[in-house]
Amino acid sequence: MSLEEQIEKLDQEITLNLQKIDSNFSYCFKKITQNIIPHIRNYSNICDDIIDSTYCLTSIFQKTSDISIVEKGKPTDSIFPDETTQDFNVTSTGQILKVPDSSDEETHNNSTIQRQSRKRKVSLLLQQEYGSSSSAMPSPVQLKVTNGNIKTDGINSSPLKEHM
Amino acid sequence: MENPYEKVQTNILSRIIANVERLNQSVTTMNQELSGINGKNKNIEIIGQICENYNNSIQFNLEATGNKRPPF
Repeated sequence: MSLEEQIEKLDQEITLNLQKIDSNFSYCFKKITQNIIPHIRNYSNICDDIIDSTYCLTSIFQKTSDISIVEKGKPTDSIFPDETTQDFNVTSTGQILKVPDSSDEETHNNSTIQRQSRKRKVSLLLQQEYGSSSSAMPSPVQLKVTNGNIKTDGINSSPLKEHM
Repeated sequence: MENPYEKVQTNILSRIIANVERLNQSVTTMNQELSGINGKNKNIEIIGQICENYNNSIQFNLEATGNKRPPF
């Protein structure tokens, strides 16, 4: 008798727990569909608005430095005259900004590579113009590109200053 | 002797399965939205960094050429 009572009790507990699990899943579903996803959509729309608002800036920077800031689904027309045959991967000096690679991780980092290349290019121009770098620590690539004949490469000293 | 709880539990289990399927679909939708937002945020971050670098370059250039003037 006691064994049957125990089984009965266990069955009741199992049913109760299953109902709790069911109600929890239902609550999760309702929370996600009614509370979270609308907010996410709202935020997505706001991001779209921001991207639309900064589109003029983006196109200006893209055209001035010959890079491609990845924006999928954006129209290609801009305030500048159309140059459809322009290759964004190569700068006007022939420097290749984006190394073509088929790996998936590389495609995600392309914008970073382009940004770093652009930064290097700008600081290179600044170095040539004023003999000093805007960045405190010149990168090895920068040293290699700018100064083929410099032997010492102190980390904090600008090589052009030593040359002058 | 048939267990009277078995049918109830089976019903609840089938409801749980249906709920989990719906939840899975909604989570998949949310993940898609979030990945889209991630891409947009990356673009916005890039634009912001470019603008900041541009500002730094302009300030440096103005100070180097001595053309920097106080605000009106």
